[in-house]
Amino acid sequence: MIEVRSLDVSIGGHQVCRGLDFAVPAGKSLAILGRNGAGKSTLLATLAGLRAADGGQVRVAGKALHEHTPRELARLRGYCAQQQHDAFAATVLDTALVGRHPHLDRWGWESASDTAMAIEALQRTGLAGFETRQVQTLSGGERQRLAVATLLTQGAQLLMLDEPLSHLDLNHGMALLALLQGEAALGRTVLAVMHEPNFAYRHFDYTLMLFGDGQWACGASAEVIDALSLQRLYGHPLRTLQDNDKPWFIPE
Amino acid sequence: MTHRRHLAVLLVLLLCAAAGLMTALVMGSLPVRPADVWAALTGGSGAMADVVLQLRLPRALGAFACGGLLALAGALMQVLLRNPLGDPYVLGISGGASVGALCALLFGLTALWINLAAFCGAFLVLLLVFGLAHGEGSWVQSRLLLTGVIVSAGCGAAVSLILSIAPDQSLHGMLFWIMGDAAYITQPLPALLVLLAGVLLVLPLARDLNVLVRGDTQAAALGVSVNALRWFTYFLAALLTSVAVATAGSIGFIGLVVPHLMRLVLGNDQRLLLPASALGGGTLLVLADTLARTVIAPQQLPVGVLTALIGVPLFLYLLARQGRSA
Repeated sequence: MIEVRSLDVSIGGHQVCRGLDFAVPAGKSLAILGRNGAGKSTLLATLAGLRAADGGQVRVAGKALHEHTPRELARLRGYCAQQQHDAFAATVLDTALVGRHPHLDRWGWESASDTAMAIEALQRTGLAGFETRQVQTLSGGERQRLAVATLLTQGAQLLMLDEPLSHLDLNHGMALLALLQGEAALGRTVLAVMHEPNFAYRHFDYTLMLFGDGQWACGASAEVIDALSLQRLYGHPLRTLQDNDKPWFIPE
Repeated sequence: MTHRRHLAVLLVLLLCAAAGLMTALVMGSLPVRPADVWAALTGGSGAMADVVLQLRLPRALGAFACGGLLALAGALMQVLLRNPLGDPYVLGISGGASVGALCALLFGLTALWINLAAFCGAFLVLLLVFGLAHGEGSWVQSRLLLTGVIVSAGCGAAVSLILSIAPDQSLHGMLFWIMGDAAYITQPLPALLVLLAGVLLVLPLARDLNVLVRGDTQAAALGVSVNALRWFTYFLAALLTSVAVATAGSIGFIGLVVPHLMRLVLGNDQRLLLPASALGGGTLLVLADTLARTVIAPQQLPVGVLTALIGVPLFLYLLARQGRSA
């Protein structure tokens, strides 16, 4: 679904990655790990085609990003930003419905089936009954779930999420991870910037580590993530606790 | 809100606009019965018909066009700036128009020449602001605004200079121009056509603008060509403003308040808000202008004062009502 070939990305003189190569097929998920400022969000935005790379290529659904029109691309990949800014009042339902934009003609109006998709997405993110609430009255976690609902309403095959777990409490965080796994099980591709390596290990097929100096490591989560690589990644020692057959990595 | 309901709301606003225009044609120092107005509009002649067709109709239509242009430009600027304080004058357009018009007044030019000079002033500022701010990247938006603010300040100084050296007999006219006055309307047709063109140009982009309100990143992720859309809309808003201020001076308040009024009542769907602002702004300015020339007749007030006097309490009332219900 997404294929990255010798990609160079930098921002403001900081090298995010050099010669990045990976591919995530349909039905699989990838977590991006790295320290604050390593360039995780920059990389995700580059993969989504929202900013230009220095070199190399990102291919989505067999074509390079620039070979898709913006509208085609918006029907293939969804992108959920780290933060949402609501300048004007709007209802929760209307905010989720914005996701239908790339599917409507220039003069088209949201149909009953578009509304039904938005309502279903709100239900799946635990926002049933919030339809007429104003976005500006939502808590941080509720707003975050609404952003995910907008992403689901977009109905793209490739889902990109920048820190989807931020602001979420434990139950909603776990529910969202299950939801993303469910999307992958349906054949979609999920890319997410993550903060918690244990979730990357348990809930994502692949993990990409950005070491902050342009170096990176990518592979199956269980192979890439271990106490040593995490220590290198975060610059803090970690201990491995074995629980049944899966390890937990906890900071010393 | 459904498509059908949008159309119903627009139809109601269209009827309000027609009623507003009729009020403007009926009222004045010489009251005309609605039946006579109808007769004049459908080809009658006589003294009554002359008053209606020669004096009141051009002024009413011109006021409608200017109100619509300012409200539409204001609604667009609020989307572009993603700030409810957006106003058609933030790019300094009205400053340029003021300098142009005041120069024309200073040299004793009249009527159409004042409009032309104002449009030239506005258009020069528009070229200057867009020329200086041209470039790539996210900083360009802030540079555009800053350029507008600075040019506006410079024009303000030029206006003060002209006012201080102007002979006393032309000061009155200058002050009315600065406050905005529909008496300067000589020919309503260009402004009306520009208003129609403006509405027709933004309507197909209205849903893209809905997405742009949600932020540039969200809009880009949903397939909107953010940069192209932004530049086009900025330029269009500036052009609409230029035509409005060239026609009737820098009438304040309409561009800021009408989009807000409409948003408070109708919500923030640009597909409805943009045409509704155009209709509502036009109607409000026609009514304000009718009041301006009748309330202490035969003396006339500058309409810009009336728009503020009507708009401020109406706006505060709606804001307070919304504050309680939320």
